[in-house]
Amino acid sequence: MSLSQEQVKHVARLARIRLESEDAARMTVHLDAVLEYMTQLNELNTDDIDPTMHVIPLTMPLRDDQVRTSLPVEEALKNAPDRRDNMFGVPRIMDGGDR
Amino acid sequence: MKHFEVIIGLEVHVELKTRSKLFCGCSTEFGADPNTHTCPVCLGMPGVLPVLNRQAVVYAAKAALALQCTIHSYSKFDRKQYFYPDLPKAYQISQYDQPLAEYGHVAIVNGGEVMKTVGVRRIHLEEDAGKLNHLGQRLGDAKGSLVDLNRAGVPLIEIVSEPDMRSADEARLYLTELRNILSYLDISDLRMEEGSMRCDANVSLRPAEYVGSLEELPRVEIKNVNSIRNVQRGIEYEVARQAELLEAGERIIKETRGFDDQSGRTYSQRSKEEANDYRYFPEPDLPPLVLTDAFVQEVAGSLPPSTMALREELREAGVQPKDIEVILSDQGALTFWRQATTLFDDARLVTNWMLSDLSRLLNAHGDTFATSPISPEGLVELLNLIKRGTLSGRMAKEVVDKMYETGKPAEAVVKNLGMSQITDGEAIKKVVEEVVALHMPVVEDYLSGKDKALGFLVGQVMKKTKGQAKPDVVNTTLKEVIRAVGEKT
Ligand SMILES: [Zn+2]
Repeated sequence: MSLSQEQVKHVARLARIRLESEDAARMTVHLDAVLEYMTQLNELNTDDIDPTMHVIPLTMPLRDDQVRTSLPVEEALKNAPDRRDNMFGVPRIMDGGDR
Repeated sequence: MKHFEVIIGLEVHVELKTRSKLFCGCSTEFGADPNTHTCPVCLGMPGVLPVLNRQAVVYAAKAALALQCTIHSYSKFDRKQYFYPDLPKAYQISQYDQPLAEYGHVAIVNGGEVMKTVGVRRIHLEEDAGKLNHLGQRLGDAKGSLVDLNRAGVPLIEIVSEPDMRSADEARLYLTELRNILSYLDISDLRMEEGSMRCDANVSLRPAEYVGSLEELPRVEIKNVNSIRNVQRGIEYEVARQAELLEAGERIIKETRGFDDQSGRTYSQRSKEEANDYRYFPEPDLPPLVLTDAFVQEVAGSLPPSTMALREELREAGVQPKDIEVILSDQGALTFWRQATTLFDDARLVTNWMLSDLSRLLNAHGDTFATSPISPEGLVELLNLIKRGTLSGRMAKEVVDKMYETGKPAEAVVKNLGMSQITDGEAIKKVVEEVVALHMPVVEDYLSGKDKALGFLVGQVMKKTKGQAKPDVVNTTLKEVIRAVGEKT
């Protein structure tokens, strides 16, 4: 296993973590070691074992389609650093991808 | 000019009309005050647990079966991760590699014939995001945005087609039929302008000499177009734009584009470089969804007749292919048609009156067949007056306008207007004899061979009867009376 610094920067960017160059170098070594450790799992023969999708042996519990009381708007917006017209204010969204 | 094959695949998101959200009990009602339908679950607070809405699963299964899909007995939910202000958890709960259903198809119909079958690759359940209101004219120059999370967590199904469509028109027909099928399931409002049905179109051009896979062709995704018509326009524009680039020897960039309704053009929405790196992983808070055969059978048993069966019903009643599609596309129209044709045996006359005069009035007043002030019984009463000869077609048009305006039944309107066609032969004969007696010189002209003179006499009779005499009866009666006069002299 050998992780490149580019891959580390990419993952950091996806997680919105700012990494200075020296941090990236250091993190590459650390993360590489973690991944290296995990590769031990590859030594096991798992040919006859189904992938584990979920660790709890449970199937999906379902609920009835009933409306419950929502939070009062004041509660809902309590943690908002910025608000206007009972909505969460967010900074300008850079380069698109409006969905 | 180079030859290209147009390759189109569509992704359609449909909001399910459950009362509560997909994973919490907040209301899904549209148009509520901002952030009044939120709770710790849909606000993405730490430590909360999502619990799946059974009705959403039933609705998704209905759609899957109606689109001829195979429902998997075992499916799972995954986290699709990206940062955007409308997504409070910074991930959307969706289904990735084991969706609810796969391998379906939609037959698209044109001119009464099945034109082709479009594959449905998959259907999965997921939650909707919140709604952003940009401060400023456009996203690009907005100073900031305001987030309303009422929509966050509303259940959606995503229906992904195979890239089987070869023209903008086929895409239109596919979407139309998809909407028809879903509308009879009654699982969604399907209002594209309100966003309860949304469509993304993937468009690429395959040069004749291209031998690679479709997946590798650079494709453009047109996002979130708000009507079927605009999906068609967007694709048409995109096909022309890409063809021009390829002919000029340039290459197509894989990108997301928006559609501008005003200009009819698509425009680049520069997306982030890593926009598609969603790092899906299984949702640890939700165990697998297991659907038994019994559940699937039960849902299958609750399905309404297919759109193909409805077409057959209309076709057998003598409705023309073009009219069949119009009636089929509006559930209210079909209900109206069925009620009217139970009361009146000429299905064609019912169809003609529904789709011409009544439609004209409904459109002009912003009504629909479901809310029509003229009921099927009311229309049938009018049609009976036509059939009995009390009203001519022309008079009936006037009557239907008044019926719509006043809400009164046909008979009452006819009485009020002093209308009703005089078909009684004796009554007409009396008027004809009067006219003949008054205008003997004209009668003599006619007898001496001036055929045109008859027109004047017909006119006089119509005047005396206020236009309510049946013209063909007037004609024959006049000729009879004049012949009798001629024989006497
Ligand atoms: Zn909620």
